[in-house]
Amino acid sequence: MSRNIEREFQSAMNGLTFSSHDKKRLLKNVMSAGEKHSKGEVIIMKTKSIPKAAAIALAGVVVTGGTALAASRILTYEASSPAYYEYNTAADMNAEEGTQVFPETLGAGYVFDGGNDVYVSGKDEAGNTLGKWTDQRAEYHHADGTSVSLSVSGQPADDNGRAPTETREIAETTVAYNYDEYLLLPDESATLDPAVKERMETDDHFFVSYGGEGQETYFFRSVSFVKDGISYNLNTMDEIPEDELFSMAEELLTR
Amino acid sequence: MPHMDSRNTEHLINIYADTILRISYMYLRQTHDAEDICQTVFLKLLTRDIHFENLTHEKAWIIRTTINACKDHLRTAFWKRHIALDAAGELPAPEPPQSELLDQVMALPKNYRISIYLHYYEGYPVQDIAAVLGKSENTVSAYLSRGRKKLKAVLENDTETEAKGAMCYVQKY
Repeated sequence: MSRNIEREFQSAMNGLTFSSHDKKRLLKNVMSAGEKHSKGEVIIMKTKSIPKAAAIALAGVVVTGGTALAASRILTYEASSPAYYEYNTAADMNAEEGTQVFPETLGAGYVFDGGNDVYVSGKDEAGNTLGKWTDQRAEYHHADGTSVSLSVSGQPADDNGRAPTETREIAETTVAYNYDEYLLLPDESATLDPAVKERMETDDHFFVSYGGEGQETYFFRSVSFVKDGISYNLNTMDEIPEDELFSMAEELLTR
Repeated sequence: MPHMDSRNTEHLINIYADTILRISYMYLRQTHDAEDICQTVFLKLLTRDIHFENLTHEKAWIIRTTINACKDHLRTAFWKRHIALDAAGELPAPEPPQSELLDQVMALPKNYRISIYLHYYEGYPVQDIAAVLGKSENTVSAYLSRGRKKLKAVLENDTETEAKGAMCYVQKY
C-alpha cells in the first residue's frame, strides 16, 4: 500500500470516534451494569430501543411451543438476553439451572467462556405472541480463536420439515448436522433478486436474514439432537469440521 | 472486583472505546451496535479477574474480545428470519468518516479489512494479527496481499475513469 493511501486510511479511521458525550454515557452504563453484576442481578444492556429483536442463537430450529399453539404457527422469534455473561463457570450455570447439561470443556480444547438465559417469545404472522419461554446458551472458546455456542431448550424442536445436511446415529439418538448459508440484508424493504427468491423456495439450507448493513453472506454449522426431552443445538460460524461437531454431540449424549 | 471504580473505568474507556468502535465498524460495517459492543467488552474486562503482563497484552485482549463480541452479535442476527420492526427511537451512532478509500476498504471481505485495519492502522505485524485472529501467518499475509491487490485494482480503475472524464471535458471545449 502506498504511503499516501496508508496516510489517507489512517486519517479516515482517526475520524471515527465516540464523542465525549457518548463516552460519558458509556461510563454511566458500564458502572451501573457493574454494580448490578456485583449484586447478582440480571442486566439487559440496551443503549437504545432495538428495532430488531436482539436474538441470541436459539436452537437453530423453528420451535412450536407446545400443543396449545397448534392452531397457529410461530413464524417470528424474538429473544433477548444480557449483553454479558450471567454465568462465568459451567458449574454455576448448572447449579442455577438445576441441571448437569453444560460441561466445563467440550471437544478438543473448547473451554466454557460464559453463559446466559435467553428469553424467547414466538409470534405468529400477525405478530401475536404465541408463547414465551426461557432457554439457556453457553459459549465455548478455543485458544485458536474459534468458538461454539451450545443452546438448550425445554421446548420441542421442529426443523420445519427440512432435510438435514447429514444425520448420524450416536448413542441411539439421531443427531442432525446442518450447513446453512445466510444472506444478511439490511431490512425487509430490500428488494430480493429473483434468483435469491427462488433459492429461498428451493434450498432448505439457504436463508435470508436481516439486520446487517449492506449485504454479506455467512455460513453456519450446527448439530442438534433431543436428549431426555431437551433440545440441544451446537452451532458455530467458524470453520469447525462436521466430524468435530458430531464428536461434541457424542460427548454431550454420553455424559 | 478489581478495576471496577469510576476513575479506572473512565481511564479505560478513554484509552480503548475508540479502538473498539473502529474494530466494530470494520467487522460489522456499521456503528449502530458499537456502543453495545463497547459495554460488553468493558464489562467483561472489569468483572473478571484478568491480569495483563503489560499494556500490549491488555490491548491485544481488548481487540480479541471485541472481535468475539462482533461475531456474537452477527450470530444473533442470523436467527431472525423475520424482523419485528418496533417503532424505536435510537440514540445517534457515531458517523463513519466520509472517505472513498474507506468505502473501498469496507467493500473488501471481512478478514481482509480487519487485517488491513490491524496492520495499517494499529501497526500490528503479521504474526500478531495471526495471534489475534487465530489464523496462520501465511493466511494473514494472504489476506493483506489480496486486500491490497483488490484495492489497487479499484483505485487504479477510478483514477482511469476520472482521467477519461477529464479528457472528454477537454475535447468538448
